[in-house]
Amino acid sequence: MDDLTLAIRPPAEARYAAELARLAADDAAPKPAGWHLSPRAVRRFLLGDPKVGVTRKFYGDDPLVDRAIVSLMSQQGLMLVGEPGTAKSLLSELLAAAISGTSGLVVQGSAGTTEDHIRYGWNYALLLAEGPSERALVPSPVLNAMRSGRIVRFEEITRCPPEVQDALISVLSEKSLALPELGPDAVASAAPGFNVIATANLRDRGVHEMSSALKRRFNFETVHPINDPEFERELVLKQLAERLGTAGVSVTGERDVAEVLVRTFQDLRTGRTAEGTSLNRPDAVMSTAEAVNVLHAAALEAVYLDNGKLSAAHVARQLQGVVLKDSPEDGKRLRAYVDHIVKERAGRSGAWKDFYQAARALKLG
Amino acid sequence: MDAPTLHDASRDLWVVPVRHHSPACAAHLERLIAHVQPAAVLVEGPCDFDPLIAALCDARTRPPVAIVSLREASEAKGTRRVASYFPFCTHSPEFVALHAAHASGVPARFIDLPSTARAMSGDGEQQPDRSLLGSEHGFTVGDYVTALARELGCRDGNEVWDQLFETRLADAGWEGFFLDVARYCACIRGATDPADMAQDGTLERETQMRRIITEVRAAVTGPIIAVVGGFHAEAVFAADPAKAKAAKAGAGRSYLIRYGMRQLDALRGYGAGLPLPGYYERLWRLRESGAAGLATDLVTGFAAHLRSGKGETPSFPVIANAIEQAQRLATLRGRPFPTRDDVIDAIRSSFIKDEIPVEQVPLLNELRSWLTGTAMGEVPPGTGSPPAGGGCPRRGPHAWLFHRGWRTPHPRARHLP
Repeated sequence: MDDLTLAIRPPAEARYAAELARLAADDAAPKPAGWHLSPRAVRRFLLGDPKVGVTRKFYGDDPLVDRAIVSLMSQQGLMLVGEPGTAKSLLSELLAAAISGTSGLVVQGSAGTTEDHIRYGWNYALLLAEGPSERALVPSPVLNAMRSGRIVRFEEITRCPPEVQDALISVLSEKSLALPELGPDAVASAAPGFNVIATANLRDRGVHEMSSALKRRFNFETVHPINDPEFERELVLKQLAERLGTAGVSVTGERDVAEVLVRTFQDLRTGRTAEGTSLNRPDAVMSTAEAVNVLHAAALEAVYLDNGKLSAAHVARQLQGVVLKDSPEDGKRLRAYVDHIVKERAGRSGAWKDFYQAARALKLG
Repeated sequence: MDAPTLHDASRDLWVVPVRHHSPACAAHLERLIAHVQPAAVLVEGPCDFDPLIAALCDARTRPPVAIVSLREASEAKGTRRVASYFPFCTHSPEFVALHAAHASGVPARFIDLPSTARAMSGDGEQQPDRSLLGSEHGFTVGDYVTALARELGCRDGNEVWDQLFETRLADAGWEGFFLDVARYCACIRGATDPADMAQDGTLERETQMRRIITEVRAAVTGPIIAVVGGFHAEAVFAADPAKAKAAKAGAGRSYLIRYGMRQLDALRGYGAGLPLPGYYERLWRLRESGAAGLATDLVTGFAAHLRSGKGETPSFPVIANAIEQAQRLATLRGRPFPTRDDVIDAIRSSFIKDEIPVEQVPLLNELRSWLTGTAMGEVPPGTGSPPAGGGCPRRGPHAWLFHRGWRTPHPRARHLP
């Protein structure tokens, strides 16, 4: 097994192993069957508890975390929906890590997902040699989770074709999976602690409808983008510090630049500036995750290709890639934003001036 | 800060801190009154409302009702009619106190400034509502409450109040309960700027309360109970022999009128009282049983409401899941029974099988509207009624101390109750 701590992005249970151990040691509250931590401890893991040295990992909607934890205790699955970049997958990973000790049981939904990914596949060589047997069966993450009483994550469930999604219905309602090839009465029953966290982006292109039978078996929780600019800025800076920390580099001047970046993103996301002017929103999603990526890329440019001082010009150069994803109209909208709003702000602040000068030079179509 | 106290033994005066329309305060107040058996009951409310106490305690009066005070306000543009409202629900501590006094045949009085006094109604301009609601304002905004909410994992001051106090509705010890309320209110007061208190009339009102309490104390022998908004409790203990202000003759008239739950609803932005009064009404009804079955009552009630044509009917497993969610959320958050926020959260998770937009959601709006309730009260026939057009509440709630002139720059729709 590779050393997980050397991977680009270790799973949550490896990144936060020390915190999870501390929470488990202190945890005297009753645990639901199959859970590694009690619900209150899971809550503290996600929302932070300074007294035990646990950092906050999910921002912006504490009641959502409560509702998610409670849904996972029930017979219903948990469905996280919302715009891209709102930390749905992060939340799903953290919940699985805290509750089951592993976030690795994942089914990635896509147009090519088949029923084998949800039920089981076969080791065909053994199948041909010995016939159907337990040894020849290759369980899917869902079957693994059922047998071991853990949480399975189903990312982007709506990208799967509907007939494949519906394979989950009997898993969720009867909590069992028939294994007809192994015998007339062969059934895999879910152990306590099994549940499903699904994520979906309901309004994207290329997604299928979920049948109402499947919807009924999930509790839906919507994860909203962060709308407090102060908050978002702190979050973006924190994420930047983490990423640069693992790469072993550091950069200066990031606070002012983060302010410019977050303001730009908030304005373009909501279609309204802080002063109250309305503007045309680009179709491209301007999520917090994107903001972190932009700041990270800008910081890397500053460190490796420049003098190590982060300026708003670095950020402006990265912005092109964010906005020009989808619709060519977005280029014009960003151009209008730069020419009117940023230009006005440039007169008042050095950081915005750098931003404006670099943004003017972008090829936005 | 000194330790709070409820009883001044040297004057045999009980000052009970309450929050308006709080069922927990009303329940504990009932027990306190039964224990103390006062010789007089004093209630925070405009003193010119005293003549209406009899009508308020009439057996035919059914809350929600309100006392409306009408006066003429003269200003640069001419005079305009101004109305202020003081609502009562069955679960209002004030209502419970007045009824208890009436039942034992002891005198009851209101002890605040007259409704027509300047400090009660601001300076005649169209005031932004919030600034007049001194004692309630502190319960929902302010540094102390915000910090406490963060510490407890609550969304806002109303949830903090529910968590700390409404959940103790069925507890045995009223003394411990009111001491905790006093301590909480003292902290809120401690975090309030004294300049604000002078400016919004709080200090003047507390002076009036002290004076009337002293007046009654001199006239009556035996224990006296004063029921005041928690914010003022620590300030009204001191004696003050000066003469209290009386209403100026011809300054205005007051009437007891029917009122509606909608108007009581604080969430519409006007501040006084707990939001979603229909929820607190149900909590009050279940107080003897410790609110057992409250979640079931609410979820099945709402489902029945939807079934009657207001929306998609939820299926049985969805309803069962919502009740289970509510109870589990209450356990996770450390509450003995599901509070208002737990029930709303549970319904949100279970009933809605789709993405919830950031803007208003029809189902949750319907839920809020149902939890507010549509009850209208009754007043005894023959109670003087205000002139037509003068007593109909305008669209939107009218909390005590908030007033509207009838002439506004832009026309608005009116809903007659």
